Amino acid sequence: MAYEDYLWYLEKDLSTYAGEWVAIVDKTIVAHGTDLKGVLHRTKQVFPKKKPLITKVNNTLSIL
Amino acid sequence: MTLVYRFKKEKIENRFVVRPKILVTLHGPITTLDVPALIDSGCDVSVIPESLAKAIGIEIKGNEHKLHAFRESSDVIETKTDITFVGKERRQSVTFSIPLLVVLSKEGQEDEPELVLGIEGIFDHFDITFQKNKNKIKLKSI
Repeated sequence: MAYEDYLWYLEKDLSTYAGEWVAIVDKTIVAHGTDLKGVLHRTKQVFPKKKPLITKVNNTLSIL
Repeated sequence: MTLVYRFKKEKIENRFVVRPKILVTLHGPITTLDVPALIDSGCDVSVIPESLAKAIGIEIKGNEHKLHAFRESSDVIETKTDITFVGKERRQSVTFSIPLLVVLSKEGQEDEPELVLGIEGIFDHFDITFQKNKNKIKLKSI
């Protein structure tokens, strides 16, 4: 499902989660928050056998 | 073999930006994680936030450096990890080891960088084409 979740992520407006880590399982946001460890823990509790797509939602313009 | 990805449209500070985000799997001693990563030809080496590195079990020790960006710098630790460039079909995926800089979190700072894939260790493996008008990023294995 990784690639399908990636395609879903590309189309989804995640701006309401700006600055947070987001876990996506089967095209659904299943956990979010500023603490990645907590996001992964909550995801694993609910979906122990699923492999989530994990992303940090940007909240600033960037120059690298 | 060519891996094809797309740009991600993001709403930031009341404007839309478009960023080349590709799908990778990070492999660590503890676990693996699927993560969209920004691919950046202006970045010398790949960078990963400390929390993401810790999540997959990368030890935060090694040679320390300063990473300089626009008018600011961050403390980083030099490491490396295996990474899979995930294709639409599993058989298309490509895995190899890349050098990586772990960006250390600053006390009281909540905002962390995202995973950024830079030139070293990656651009030698692929011919990379950015086609914004076609909404495609192509990574052709060399």
